[in-house]
Amino acid sequence: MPMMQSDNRLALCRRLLFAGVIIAGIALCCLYFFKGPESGLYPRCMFKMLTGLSCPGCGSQRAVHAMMEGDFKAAFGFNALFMLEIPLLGLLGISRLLGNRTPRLQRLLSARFFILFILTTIIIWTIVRNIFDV
Amino acid sequence: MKYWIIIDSVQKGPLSIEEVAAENGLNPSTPVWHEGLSDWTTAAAVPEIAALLGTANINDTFTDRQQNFGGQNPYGGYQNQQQPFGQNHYGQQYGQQYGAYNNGYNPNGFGPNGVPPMPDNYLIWAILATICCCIPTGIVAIIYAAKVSPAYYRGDYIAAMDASSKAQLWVIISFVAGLIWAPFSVLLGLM
Repeated sequence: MPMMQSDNRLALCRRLLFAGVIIAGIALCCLYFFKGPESGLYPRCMFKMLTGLSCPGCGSQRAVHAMMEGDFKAAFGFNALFMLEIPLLGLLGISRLLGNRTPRLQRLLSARFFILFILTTIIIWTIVRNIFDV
Repeated sequence: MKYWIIIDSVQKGPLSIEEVAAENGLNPSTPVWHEGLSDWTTAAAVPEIAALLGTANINDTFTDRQQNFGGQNPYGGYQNQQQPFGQNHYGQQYGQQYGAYNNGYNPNGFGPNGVPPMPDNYLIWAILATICCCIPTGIVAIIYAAKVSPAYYRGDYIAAMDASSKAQLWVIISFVAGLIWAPFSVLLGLM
């Protein structure tokens, strides 16, 4: 079945974007290690500044910094969902790299119920953390 | 050879030529694809399927075609009167053209059974976008990501591609929004 759009340029863009993200990630890691989020140098959450509520990702910068210092317990305290999503994102990444070699894994990870489950988790987490202040 | 057709926005296939013949609502502009074609074409352009259609319909299509040539070709009117010959000529031309495609040339690298790989659902990026950038647009991206695989496994590859590109679009919107916001928030934080 033919693709409905030309893919060569898209593939190139994707590769460049991927390389850019990795380089930026490494640079950020170095910066993070030496200057933590407490220094006020980093972007803040739009959602929190506008509404005063915590978004599902609030605390993930502090969690990353805590992880870099090896303090996983503190990292969980800053954003538990983020810590749980890291292995999930890793699994998704591996499944994508393997492509069709793991059809059942791919099928599970792309299933509608699975994705909607993740979405529900994120929404429930947002509500829970704002009520119980975690 | 197997054919895929779209009738009333519903994609059907793989169909044998007999099954295509049994389809109601087939007309010269019905989108058709078969293995070896680089893109969708119309029923009128596939000689085997064009042969199934009523002659009157085919004549309409070929008249249209010839009218397109009309501006350049002073004999356009003459050709219209010679439809049996014109038909034959076009049939042969397309036959040869697609024959060439079928000789082992597979432009998009699909598998041997002609099934395309599943389009990316950008789930990783959609989750990152929701958590880190912008909640509402990230959620839209996740919802489109959830539509890719059901459409794909149902055989509706066009809907899968469509959901995939919409998921990608909303991921890009989320990240752009986040990137635009980032410098402002740093400034506000330093103040």
